[in-house]
Amino acid sequence: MEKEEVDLIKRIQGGDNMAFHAIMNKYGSRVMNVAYSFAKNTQDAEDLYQETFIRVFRNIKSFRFESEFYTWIYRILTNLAYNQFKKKGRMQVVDPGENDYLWETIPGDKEDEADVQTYKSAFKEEVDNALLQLSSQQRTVFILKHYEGKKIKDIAAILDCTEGTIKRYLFRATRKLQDLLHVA
Amino acid sequence: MKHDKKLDEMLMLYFFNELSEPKKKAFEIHLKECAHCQTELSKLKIMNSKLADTPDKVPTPELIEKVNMKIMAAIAPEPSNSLINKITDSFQEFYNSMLMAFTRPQYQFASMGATLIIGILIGKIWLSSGLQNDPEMLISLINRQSDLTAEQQSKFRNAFANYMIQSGDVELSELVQENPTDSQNDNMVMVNFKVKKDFALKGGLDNQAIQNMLRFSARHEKEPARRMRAVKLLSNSPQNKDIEETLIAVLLHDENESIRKEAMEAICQYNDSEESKDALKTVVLNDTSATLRIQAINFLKEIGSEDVIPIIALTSIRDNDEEVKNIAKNVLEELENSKSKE
Ligand SMILES: [Zn+2]
Repeated sequence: MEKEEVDLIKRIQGGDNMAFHAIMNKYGSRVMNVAYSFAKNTQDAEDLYQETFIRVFRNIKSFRFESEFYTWIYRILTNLAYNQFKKKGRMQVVDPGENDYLWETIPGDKEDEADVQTYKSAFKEEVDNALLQLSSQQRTVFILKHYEGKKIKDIAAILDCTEGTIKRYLFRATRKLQDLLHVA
Repeated sequence: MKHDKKLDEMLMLYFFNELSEPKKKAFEIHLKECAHCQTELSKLKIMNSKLADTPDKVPTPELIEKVNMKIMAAIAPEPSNSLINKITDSFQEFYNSMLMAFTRPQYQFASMGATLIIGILIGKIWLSSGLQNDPEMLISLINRQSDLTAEQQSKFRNAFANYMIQSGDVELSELVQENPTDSQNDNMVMVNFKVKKDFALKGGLDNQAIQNMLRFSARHEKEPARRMRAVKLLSNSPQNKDIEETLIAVLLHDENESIRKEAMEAICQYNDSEESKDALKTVVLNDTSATLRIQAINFLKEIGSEDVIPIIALTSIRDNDEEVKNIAKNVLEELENSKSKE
């Protein structure tokens, strides 16, 4: 870990809130992008991001510098995504949030892949809707595997579950997606 | 090899690239022979092709900052309340001491000293900055400066400067006057001061925080040249009670004669003030410099009110400098003549 970051974290642990702002500035966009990939809509992504950093702040005294700080944040974020919507059951597709205008829409821009991009963006909404129909556990595991490219073993470690549990969620998610995307 | 249920899992793991090399090889052998697995794998690949692999939306820095601000507000409720209480409490204390000072028969700065001066500074900024009506603003100012408009930031800096003066742990490092040749009202002043780190404040002479820093500087700078510069700038500032009080304090307490002289000349712009007149009387009676005593006598002559006569009379008898005595006698005669003419 960089000395600068260690200093920042120690300052937060010592009660300096302004240092926490610096941490959020450093990891904000990475965390928000991951939050969006889990939440699939801007409002829920912002909520997830906010809850993540609040928990990071509240638990920062338990950070022992044994892993990269981002890994630690990532773990909190992922576990929130995994557990957060348990009560609600499933996330619903919601109206764009009040801050939707503060998000940038990316066009598919690689020319040689234009066809693929168009093809994929045609399914974008359908895929998002399908992902939102999964349970938060299924969705989180599937996203970690498919989009984040994590190994089942690592996902189990991040979410503190057995590999068997992760496999079960992953396979169910896959079957369900096939079903919802009409490729069963 | 015939397909069985166990191979469903192998297929999934194969698709997700989770098989070890030997297991992968073994499964590929099965795959070549199993129509079921081939069909399932192709379906998985179709599914895969539908899943977009890049996010369609990315957050702007503005969004991140906005949400970060919400988080900062959420995690920082308490510490600034204690700051508010501290300022409120000390204001009350200073306000009381100020009242005590003003209700004395003779306007006495001597006994009150620096505490009173600083107390007045804080009290005035507290009253005039509107902070007492807006504790929310102070909290947000102190906690999250970057959330502020330029105007709020400037308010924050001013309030902070004043708060730091109160803490007493302040050392002025530089005082810069921009475009000193410009007309007086356009004077811009920059005060650099150290607290724990450098801090700069910039504003016109009509800016209250600048005035407060100048007042602090005029009273507490160690370097006489800097006290002098502060006094000169204060004499160019729009007149107000606070500045007058500081100038009086300088006049009565500064150890440097030319600074006291500068302060006295500035004070004489405050024609009608009882406090200034009392200060001039004090100079006539107590100042160690004969030059200043003479100048003060002349200023009192200009004022010419009846109550200055006993002071000048006393000086004409008691002063230990012959020149001062003589001048006092002459002034006394002039004053009595003009009185009898009326
Ligand atoms: Zn098979």
